[in-house]
Amino acid sequence: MLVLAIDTALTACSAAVVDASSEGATRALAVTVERRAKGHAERLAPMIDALLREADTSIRALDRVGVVVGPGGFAGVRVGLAFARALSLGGGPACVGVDSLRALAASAPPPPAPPPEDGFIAPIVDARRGQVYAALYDAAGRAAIDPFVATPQEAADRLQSTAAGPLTLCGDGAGPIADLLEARRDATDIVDPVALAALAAAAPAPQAPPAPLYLRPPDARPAKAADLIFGAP
Amino acid sequence: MGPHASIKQSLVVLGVETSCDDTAAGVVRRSADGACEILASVSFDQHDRHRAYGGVVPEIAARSHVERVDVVVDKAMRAAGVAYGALDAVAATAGPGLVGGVMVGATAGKAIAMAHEIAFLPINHLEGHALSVRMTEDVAYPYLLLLVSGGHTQLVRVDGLGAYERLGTTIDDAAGEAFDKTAKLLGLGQPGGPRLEAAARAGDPARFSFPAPLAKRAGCDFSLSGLKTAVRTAAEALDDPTAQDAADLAAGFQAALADHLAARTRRAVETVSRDRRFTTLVVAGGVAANAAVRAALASACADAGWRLVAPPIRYCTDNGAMIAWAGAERLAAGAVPSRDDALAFGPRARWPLAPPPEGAAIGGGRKGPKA
Ligand SMILES: [Zn+2]
Repeated sequence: MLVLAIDTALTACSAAVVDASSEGATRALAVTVERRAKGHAERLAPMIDALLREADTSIRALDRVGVVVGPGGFAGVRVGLAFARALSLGGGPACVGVDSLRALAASAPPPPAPPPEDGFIAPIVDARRGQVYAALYDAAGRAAIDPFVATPQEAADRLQSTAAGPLTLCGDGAGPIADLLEARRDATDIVDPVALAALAAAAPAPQAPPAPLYLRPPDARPAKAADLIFGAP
Repeated sequence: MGPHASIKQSLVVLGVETSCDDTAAGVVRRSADGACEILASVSFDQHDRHRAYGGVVPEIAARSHVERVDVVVDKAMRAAGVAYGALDAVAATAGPGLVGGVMVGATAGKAIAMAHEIAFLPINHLEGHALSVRMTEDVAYPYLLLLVSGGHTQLVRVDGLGAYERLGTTIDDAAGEAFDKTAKLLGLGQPGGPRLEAAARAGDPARFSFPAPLAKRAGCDFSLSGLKTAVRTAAEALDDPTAQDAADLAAGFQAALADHLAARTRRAVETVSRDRRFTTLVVAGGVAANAAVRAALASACADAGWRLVAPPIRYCTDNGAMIAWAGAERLAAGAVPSRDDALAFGPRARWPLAPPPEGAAIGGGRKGPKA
């Protein structure tokens, strides 16, 4: 199937047009990976416009659009999702959401030979404010721990107690965790849109549009009591 | 733009609006003679999601927009009975406003335009308000516009499409913001405008008299934060405030605000009246729904021999149809950016409709200028 993959959730703006089978085989027709922390809203549409031209195809011809739903930068997550979900309006391609940590784990190259079949990979994303987003996957890509947000110490403890084999860390938040536990460190810190397309192609047909995964409540303070001379309504 | 757009009899445009706390979409048809037919205008408001916070919370608004914008667009398209392939363009608010929400609507608009191979039109939200009256009313250019909403309080001279001159703006709070904050202070809840107006009906506007803002200052700028502070001071001086006290304060505040809006509008009427073609005041924005404000403006117009025109409230407040209409007007006039520039257009938190007059400061205030 023809898949458009979109990632704007982390520190890159990336997309790819990929011919992917549901068994995981991929043939990339056009790929762009651009490191950037912001400006996703300006870059995404022109990038995809150029990719479609390069792949000599159109949105009409796509079977699926795969998009990273977070956790990551809130604004970036929304740009990717708003774009991908709107593409499906009016009988467009089905929209499939993939979380950023699974996409990151799938983007890391396999560990050097011999590949430990009982190995685990933990993608760690810097969530700012002294926290990380993290998850744990086994060698077959099954989630051992679903995405969560925690301090590096808490995350290290959870990963260590669950990973029953050699552990590989990746992601831009892996540094502080690597200091806390014994693990191999992989340099992958952004999503490979071709790996993302493979995940989107392998996912079951979506029943509903994907929702954002923030893992954090919105920053909002309720009205202060001092503001209310007459009390709350 | 499609190769045939310029010779088509009529243009059908989808509009998307996500700059504040309404997720809205509309579809309009513009005939070759310039007539407008609103085919659909659908909106999802988020008031209940913000109620506990006593004002619009940007992150909550942005989260709500991304969940809803595609749903609202699809509802509008179904209500209009228009196939996506039959659209000539997608217009979306690209600013000014809460940038997290603007980003969502404009990005969705770009995707729809790309999927259906039609033009994307980034629209200034203020232009949407400035032109919205011509969707439903027979109003010729030029006219004077008073835009009074939760985000904006401006007097704008509208000479035609894209020809605007801002005569005045608020130097602090917007009128709708002043209503919201005062309603909160009086324990009336949100949305503040309608709640405060309802409370004021049982109140005596003469019991508290609040000073007229900027009374000695020339020009057409507004100031509304002092009024809110005056209400607070008066409320704090009360021993054991009752519901009647709140009603009287609400009535006094509303009367003072309406008088201030009318006083500054009178100055603008005087200024533009030097050009005899100006005989119409158009009021837009959510505060235009307030009866006391309308009455004060009607009396200002009557004194000048002018006509006061207000579009129906659902097109006065933020809506998708007005964005579609601004897009259709621009498309018909060929006043649109190139395809590449439109797709690369970034969301703008600030985007003045027209540059401020030479030498005049752009409105300040704690939150900075709204536009
Ligand atoms: Zn507005």
